[in-house]
Amino acid sequence: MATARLENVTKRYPGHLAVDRINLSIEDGEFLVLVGPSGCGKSTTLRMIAGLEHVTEGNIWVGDRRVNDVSPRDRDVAMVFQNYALYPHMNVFMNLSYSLRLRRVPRERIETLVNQVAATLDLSPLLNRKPVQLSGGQRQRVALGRAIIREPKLFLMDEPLSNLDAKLRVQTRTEITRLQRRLGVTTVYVTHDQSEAMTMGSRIAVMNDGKILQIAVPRDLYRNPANSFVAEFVGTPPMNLLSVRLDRSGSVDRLTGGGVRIPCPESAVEALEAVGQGFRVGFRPEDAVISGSNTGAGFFGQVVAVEDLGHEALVTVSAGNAQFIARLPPARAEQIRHGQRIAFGVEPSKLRFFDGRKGAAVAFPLDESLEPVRRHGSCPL
Amino acid sequence: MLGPVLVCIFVLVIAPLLWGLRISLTDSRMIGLGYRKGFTLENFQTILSDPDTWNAVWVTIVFSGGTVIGSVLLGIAAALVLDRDFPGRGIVRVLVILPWAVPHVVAALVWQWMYNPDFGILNYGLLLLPWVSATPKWLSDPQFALLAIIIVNVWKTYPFAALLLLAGIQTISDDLYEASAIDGAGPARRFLDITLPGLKRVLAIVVLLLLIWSFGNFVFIFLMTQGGPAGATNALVVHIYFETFRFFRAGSAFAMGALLLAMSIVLTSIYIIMLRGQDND
Repeated sequence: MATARLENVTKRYPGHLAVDRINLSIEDGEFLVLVGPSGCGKSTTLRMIAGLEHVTEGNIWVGDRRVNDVSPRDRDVAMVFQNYALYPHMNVFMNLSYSLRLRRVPRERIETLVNQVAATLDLSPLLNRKPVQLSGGQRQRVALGRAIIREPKLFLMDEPLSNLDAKLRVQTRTEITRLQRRLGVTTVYVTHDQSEAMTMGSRIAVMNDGKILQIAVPRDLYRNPANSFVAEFVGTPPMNLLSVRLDRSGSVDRLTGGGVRIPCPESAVEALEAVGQGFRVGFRPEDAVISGSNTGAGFFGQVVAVEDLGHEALVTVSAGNAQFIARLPPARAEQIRHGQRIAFGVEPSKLRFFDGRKGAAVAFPLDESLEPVRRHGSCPL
Repeated sequence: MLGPVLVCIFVLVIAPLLWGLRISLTDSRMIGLGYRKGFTLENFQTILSDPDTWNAVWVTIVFSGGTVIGSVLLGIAAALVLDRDFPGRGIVRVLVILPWAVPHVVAALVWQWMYNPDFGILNYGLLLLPWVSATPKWLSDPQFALLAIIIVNVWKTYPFAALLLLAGIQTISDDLYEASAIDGAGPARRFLDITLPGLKRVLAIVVLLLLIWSFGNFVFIFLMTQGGPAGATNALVVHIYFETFRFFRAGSAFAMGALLLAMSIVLTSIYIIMLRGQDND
């Protein structure tokens, strides 16, 4: 059990800044997910916590010990690698017990621990097998077992699910989360898959270009992205974004851009005027309202595609020179035909605004109709 | 395609081998010529009761064993160094591999010169050491001659071992080293638990090839000591050569050839069986 803290941590390779002054505080027992596109510095960050990479600047603390210059083996962390890194010439028993044997744990104790872990992870019949004789999922469980057997202060996982097929990935996702809750070990989990991040993390740190863009609980991240990158990165399909300007010439304040006009929520007008003319408006696909007639709350568009996924339908609408995606119940989508002209609107309170250049979210007083953001809420995906 | 290959193998390998065995069963003096007895086991009786033969067998074993051990140890060390990233690695790689590219004759001449007891650089260097007062007469002292030849052979063959082992080391995933580092292994344990097991197959091939090659190595001994002094470096191949071409006893020479072949086959088989056993653990 431990906390971990990163203070202005920077990693610089010759001619390349991989991690740029990040600050991160990981609470005891927390499941923190580092998520971002490839090359964003998330794995480097994890490897610095593990001690596999040197920190160029800044400090890393595990518990109340500064570990910058502590070797990996003395940090009391365990790591699960993307390709599992099982010792190929050792059988499952030897793989699981390797760290214990190095620490000269008595033989009986090793056997007890290995049997416990093997029972937990359903590996008991496989203890004599070599890694080549195991399936992908089994190898993955051995890698997990090797990490948990040590009861480390910190669990580090580097994309542990990306080598599994889709079905097994979803299943293992649940298993890892359940295991982590049960053991209560502070965990840092790296993934490029935002849906993995949203389903597993108790908190998520979104990274891009070596920086942390936002740290939040999944629901907050989804509802109130701190900038346009997070808005587009989190959620499938991503948040609809459109470059607009504020048009106050008519009787109603409108957002216009790309041949589209959207009514602007009154509470946002002041904040938007302060930003200036260039900003982007965004809304989640499920916040789009599609109706046969123009209700005045939106604009007309042409249906470009209807994708029925069974539990939901995604309707792509082209308006002006922009495209939006709406998420609808399948029953509603049934009546919508390809090429049809439909009215497309968004509930004003669900609109989000981002600075056109920096991408930072524009804060404005939310309407009371907006539901309050709850911590540890369920993920809307 | 199989036909021509089989014909080639038969003509180039199997037929000469059988012919050689046939000669070993005659009292031929020139190779395959001038024999009176068409079939006799006398050659085998003679060579097996001749202490010179057993000396040659012993020299062969020491020479081969020394070469393999020396080359593999030096090869692993060189491979570990070359695997690291350091400035000038390209040049060092070339230098390490260089002995392999030097022709045997040139190598023999250079080493002979270095071993020269009076003006060789080796003894000159040894005398610079404060505790050394007498230097060996490398190639003319029966105590040192075999060691001297082994050193030359190790020098010539270790680049091969280094090259193959380096390739082997580079196939070992970095993740394994990292995982074991996190699990608590220091550099020595990582070498024993990750590097060595990862090199097992390559190592097997290296040991086998070096063993076979040094069993048949003739050049250095012939060029530097001619089997002497007092038979100290008289390995089987050299012994066979002298039997055939100096003493014109082709029959018994070929019998020794058969003995050498049998030794090679036995050693190789033992080795392969050992490896199979390890794999099935």
